[in-house]
Amino acid sequence: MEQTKRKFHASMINDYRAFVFLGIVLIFGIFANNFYTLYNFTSIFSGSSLYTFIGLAFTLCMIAGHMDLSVGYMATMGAMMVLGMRTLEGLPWGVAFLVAAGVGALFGLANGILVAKAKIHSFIVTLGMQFVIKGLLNIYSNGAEISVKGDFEVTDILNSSPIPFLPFSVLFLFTLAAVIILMVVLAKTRFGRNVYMLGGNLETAWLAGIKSDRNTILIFMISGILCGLGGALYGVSAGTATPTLGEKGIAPLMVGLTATIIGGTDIAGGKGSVLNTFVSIVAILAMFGVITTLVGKFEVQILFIGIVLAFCVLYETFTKYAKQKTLGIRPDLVQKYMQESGKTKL
Amino acid sequence: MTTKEQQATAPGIKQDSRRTDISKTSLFINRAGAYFIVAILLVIGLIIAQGRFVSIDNIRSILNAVSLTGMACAGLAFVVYSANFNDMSLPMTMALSGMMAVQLIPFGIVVSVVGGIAAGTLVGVVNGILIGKFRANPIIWTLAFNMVLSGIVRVAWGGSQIYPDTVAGDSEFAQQAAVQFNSFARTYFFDGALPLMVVVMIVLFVFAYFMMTRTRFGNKLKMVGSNYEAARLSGVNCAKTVILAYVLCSLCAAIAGIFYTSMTKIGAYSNGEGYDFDCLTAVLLGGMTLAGGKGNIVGVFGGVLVVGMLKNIMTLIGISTFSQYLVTGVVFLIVVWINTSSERKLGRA
Amino acid sequence: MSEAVNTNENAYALEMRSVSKRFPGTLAVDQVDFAVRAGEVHALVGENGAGKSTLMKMLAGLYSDYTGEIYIDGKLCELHSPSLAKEHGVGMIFQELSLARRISIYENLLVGRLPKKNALFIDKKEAVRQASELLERVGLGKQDPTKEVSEISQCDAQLTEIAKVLGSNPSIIVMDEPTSALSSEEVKRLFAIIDSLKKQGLAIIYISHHLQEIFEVADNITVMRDGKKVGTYPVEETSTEHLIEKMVGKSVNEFYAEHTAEIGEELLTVKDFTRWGFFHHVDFTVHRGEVLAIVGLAGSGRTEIGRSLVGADPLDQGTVVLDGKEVSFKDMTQAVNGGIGYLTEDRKVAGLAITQSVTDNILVTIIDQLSKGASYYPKKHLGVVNKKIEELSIYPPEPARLVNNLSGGNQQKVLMAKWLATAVDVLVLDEPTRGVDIGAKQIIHQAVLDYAARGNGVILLSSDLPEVVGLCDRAIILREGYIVGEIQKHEINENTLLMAANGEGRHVS
Repeated sequence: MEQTKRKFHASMINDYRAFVFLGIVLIFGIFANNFYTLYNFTSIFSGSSLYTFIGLAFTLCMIAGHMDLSVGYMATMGAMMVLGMRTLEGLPWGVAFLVAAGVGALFGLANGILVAKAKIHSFIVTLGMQFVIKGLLNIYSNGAEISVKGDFEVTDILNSSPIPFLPFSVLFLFTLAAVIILMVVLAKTRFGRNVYMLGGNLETAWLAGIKSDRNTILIFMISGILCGLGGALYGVSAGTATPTLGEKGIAPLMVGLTATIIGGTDIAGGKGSVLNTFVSIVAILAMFGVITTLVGKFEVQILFIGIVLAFCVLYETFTKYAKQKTLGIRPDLVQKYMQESGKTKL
Repeated sequence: MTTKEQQATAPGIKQDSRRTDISKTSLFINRAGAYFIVAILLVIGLIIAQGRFVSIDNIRSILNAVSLTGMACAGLAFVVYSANFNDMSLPMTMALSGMMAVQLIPFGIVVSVVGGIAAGTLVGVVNGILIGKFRANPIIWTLAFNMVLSGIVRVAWGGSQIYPDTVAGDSEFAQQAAVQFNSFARTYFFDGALPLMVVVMIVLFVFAYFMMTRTRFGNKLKMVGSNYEAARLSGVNCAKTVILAYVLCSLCAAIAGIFYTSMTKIGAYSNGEGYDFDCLTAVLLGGMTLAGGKGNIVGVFGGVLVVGMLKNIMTLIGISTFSQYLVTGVVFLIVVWINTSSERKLGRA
Repeated sequence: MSEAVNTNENAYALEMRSVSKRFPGTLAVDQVDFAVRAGEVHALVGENGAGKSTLMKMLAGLYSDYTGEIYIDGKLCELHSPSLAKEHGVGMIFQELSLARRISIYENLLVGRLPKKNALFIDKKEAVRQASELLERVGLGKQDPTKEVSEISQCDAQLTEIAKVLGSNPSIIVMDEPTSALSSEEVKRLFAIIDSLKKQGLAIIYISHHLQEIFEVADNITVMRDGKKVGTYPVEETSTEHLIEKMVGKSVNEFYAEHTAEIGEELLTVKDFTRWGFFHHVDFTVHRGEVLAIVGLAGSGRTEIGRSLVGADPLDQGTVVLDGKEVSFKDMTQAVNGGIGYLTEDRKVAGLAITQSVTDNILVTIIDQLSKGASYYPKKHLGVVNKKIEELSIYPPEPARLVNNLSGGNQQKVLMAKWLATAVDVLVLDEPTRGVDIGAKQIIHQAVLDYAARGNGVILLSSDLPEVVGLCDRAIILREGYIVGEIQKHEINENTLLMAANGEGRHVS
């Protein structure tokens, strides 16, 4: 009895490790000057926007048992499209955002069809799609950046904090809305539950009559829409977008992927939470902030995010390795062993 | 009694009911692999570039352009072949070995090169143990390790770049080593017709070819890649085999890293950026599959050639760098699609 | 409910009329008539390959190309897909659990038909309520339906599987070996549930090798053999011996070759062999030239003993003496070099690399023997491969052919060939002929006997009883992880084996 109780706690900690990670960062924040300020939190939250959208998209695909490596470039495409439509074509903002989301959806559709219908591994499909999108967005902008060109109205709105004394910019509120909507979709709709079932056990899904092809395509399309919107919001809030957005610094794809893993989403599919991914992203950005104040070096940030990710991977690897050894054990024989040897543990 | 007669006479023995009539086209595409595309590109190149394409200069520039990718691909092929998807720590392996080599220049050129290669190879040892022995997820682990390495390298060198001649300082001996180091990427044989980098790439491919087909390791790796559990239960030491695959991968990446550093004369943490996906693209174009145990080194070399020729032709006919990405991506997707469907038609997937 | 059952006393809930199903090479089910009444537990027994599972899969809609007619509640139905079968009220509980382990119980129970609150959202409360109700019906009322399947015991998972099937309101439930993972206590729980389902007027078809259980739970028993129905017997009018006789038939043993091997000195002695939780204190000896069978029902620890013996799985205590020397193997590389081989039971998962050639698969066990240094080129050793191909008449005889493009029987021959190519003294054969046609079976059996006749030892782990009777010289009986008895050559027949494996008869201590 005692043993099951302890096990329960250990797995609890692991299930909420994103929160634990955030907690640790916040504790270290006490030692950093100017960490607990409204300004700092506003900038952390705003900065998390692009990464969150990409992380959500990546997590969604991974729950369904796929990988979408093209998220970074789809987001870049979103940023370029929204600014291009507005600045170069002079379309209204609403239409510009719709185009950005639509283009993302198109790429998602292409990914989904190649994965579901042509039966090519999602890792390969999205790897190739990366190059395609990279080419297209460079052709579109001729390799140059596109900026809002003085039309800062929406940029200012996105960066303003409408609620006094709370570190939430409009940009972050949109991000939060996306997180909540996707959480609700995944938790409360049949589609959402099917995503888990597809990743968890494809055969069960088939026997239950779930249409796996259609759902897979839809999953990739949603991934594309999220990236398109996330990129668009980022582009407008920054006032400018370059075709290298998906590559510079620690690439957004890598941050999204890291946060997905730290958040506990299983790479084999069937398990995961977008909330945990979101919390991980906030924690990562907060950690960057703390490190900048305490150590002051960008290079230490990369080292730490690597160590956290490596720690999670190693933990999972070794638990799985240990679990493998007791696979298929007969509980009645374990009890006999305990009676025989007087021990309480195997 | 021959087997066939036995089949006919022994009661109860059914003829092989599986489909034996294999589509000829599928088989051809499957066998020819990347060279099918190489041939097409050759024809396109001949038509479009009228004489410029098959000149010595142009062939050399194609090979020279892909030599770094090629070196890394010769190693990466082992990892892909072992069904471990991709070595995402390839970029930092290249960067680490390059920086290590530069840092060791004051101790002479031999120490520098050996140290650089050793540092890179160490990455493969760690990857191999965790993935081969403890079955860590290959993509996620190598990615995590890449970040850790990236952090270590940046912290160790304070986030700055290092230059061979600066590191060498005032010592005559070290200066000479620095000059030698920088000359690696600029050494040519036969009056500039054959760059050292191309020679090294070809040597690595030949080496990889022999490792893959003519050694115990290569044949074991094939079985490990096709079915890890079956290989393990047949007495193959899977952990050892996978470790060696990663070591070879890192070894080749380290050599590529040193040439990269020599070429740019800068040791920097960003030296291998992008090589993880670029090399995987070439390997997959060469007919290897993520399922493992499929494809061969000759094909991978073809894949590298395709990448080089495609880029060369596009440059010759004046397609912008930007459109080149697009074309590469589309060609890649089409080739992989054809490969996948032909594999399935042959009952191999 | 029960009244309805009474008025339909004579109507069948399910009636299958002369149904057949052909697989490439075999007629798995041959003109079978099969009928079940509502409120009846009908057991379906027969040896491996008798066609029980195929018959039931037909009913569950997994095949779209069966012939014959299936009537459910008197109406002719076409069961060409799982969802069609479900609509007609057939629920099947598969041998391998079809639950998604990392997903909550209630979602597994209601997969594909989660209740909706409105057009958009599912109603979790309602779902949990419905799930609790279903769990209640299988006696898991106390279980929290929001837990993940991976958090509950194997037994509860098995019961959840039943609850899942109940959720689609079936009138017929098929259970394929539902007790293989359960302990005797848990089996009792399952039977109580089956009893209550029966009272609710459901027709239950129960497939099992455990004859004891069948006598406890069933009303009628249908015996199948070689794809045909032998007969249906009310449980009061039959006995274990009678059933076994019907299952076994008479003609099967005839094609087994004579044993020519002389039993020599002790080759392998295993003492106090234990892996806690899997098998405890197992002792046995194999002599040169001898085929020793370890007989036990599914889940008795048979496979685990084989795997631990060759170092594929860990071992907690015990000694192994091979050819006079004490040995212990940490992995299979050591085992193969030390002189023990292990032919795995599932050729596609753990036996063969099916996307590689016959040559590669046959030579994989002897790569280290064939070459001294690092250099090795398989094409040089085609002689070895061709010899094995001829020995086992692998068809078509092409060394370069991919294993995937061979028939099942020939794939199994390749698996056998790769172990015969080694120079091991002892070979552990785990289900060496599962799911292969009779011709391939014959060839493999002959190969096993020839191998033993060369002075080697064979440990046979098989649930195919005619095979055990035909091949082995001695059998030890394994039951729930312990050795419970031993049968000598002259006393081995299917009756004694079945009795012993079920824990009956005088061969069990």
